[in-house]
Amino acid sequence: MAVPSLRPAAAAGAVSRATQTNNAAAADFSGIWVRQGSFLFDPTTRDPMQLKPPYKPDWMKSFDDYRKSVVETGVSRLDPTAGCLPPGMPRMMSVVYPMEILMTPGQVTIITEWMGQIRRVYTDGRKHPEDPDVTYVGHSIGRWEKGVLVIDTVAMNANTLLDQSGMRHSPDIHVTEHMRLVDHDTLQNELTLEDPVAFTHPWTVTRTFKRAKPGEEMREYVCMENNRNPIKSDGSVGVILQGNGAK
Amino acid sequence: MKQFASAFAAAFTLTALPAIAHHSFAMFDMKKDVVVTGQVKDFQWTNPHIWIQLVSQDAQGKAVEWSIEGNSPSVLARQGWTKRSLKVGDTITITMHPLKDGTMGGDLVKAVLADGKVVGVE
Repeated sequence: MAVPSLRPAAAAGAVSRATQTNNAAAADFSGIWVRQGSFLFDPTTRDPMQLKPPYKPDWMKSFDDYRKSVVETGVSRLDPTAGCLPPGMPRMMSVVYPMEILMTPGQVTIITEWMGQIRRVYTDGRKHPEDPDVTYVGHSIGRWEKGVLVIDTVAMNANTLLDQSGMRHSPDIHVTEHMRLVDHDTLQNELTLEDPVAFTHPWTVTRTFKRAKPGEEMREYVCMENNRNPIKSDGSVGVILQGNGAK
Repeated sequence: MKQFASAFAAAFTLTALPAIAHHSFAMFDMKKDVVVTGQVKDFQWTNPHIWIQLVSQDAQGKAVEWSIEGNSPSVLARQGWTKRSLKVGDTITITMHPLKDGTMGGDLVKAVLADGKVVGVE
């Protein structure tokens, strides 16, 4: 019974009360949101060469070598999403296509259209598990501070990138987000990455989302439905041709 | 270095802007446009990306099939495309960035129907 999600039904009332208290200053983020700015982790640049991650020297060298090799060879090799693996946290908060936020008692749910990832932010007052399993979205708990949802995320899969530029992170990454409504149609998310293995100091960016047009719906995205871009043996992305053009 | 940076920006951003998300488009020559007119053999309105199979005639008059990769239905639908935008047998003119290796594939830039209407443009 140490696992919060297996809490017996008898405790549900307590959870509900905790939720009400915790959500006293909650804002309503419900809706479909469209990312603004670059799809790189740093929304202010579309050029991977301009990214300035606070990497320790060996991590910086590795990233520099990679981004230079992309310039020189035109081949990007590192991205697991090319093989339809999900982006995971924190990349899922900066990818293309909209995200939908659902607000329910004790939980804020974030659904990203790309790869169909679901992120559950528990706002019922629970703590992280003592020894959480590592997952793509990690384990997220949130608390409200005067309309700002402060999300703390741990246990993220390190077989992911921070974005398409090839930036990596270690399994020790810790993400803190401050999510707030700027106005009815504008959502802001300040993300701070702490990674004591890879970084010399935390890295904070602020992303903005605009509310989707009325009537817009989330679409299904099943990456393996018709993926004709296999990853080749050298790690680059191929194309499956069809018909007599495939010869 | 500056030259590298701009080449890199081209390699990443040009590829990144139209479609990206799912994978790099580094295999296409984003600096080159190829225009081909032919008949639609198959229109695959699918994730992660749509594909148009287009049969045209080469210089010797032989029928050749192109595999043309477009954006995702998610992006294209928001631009005005639908699953009925193209039908098998339609004569269309495609502008694409060709595969760098010279094989019969490309990255969709624009599709124009026989009546001159550009798909996805009101």
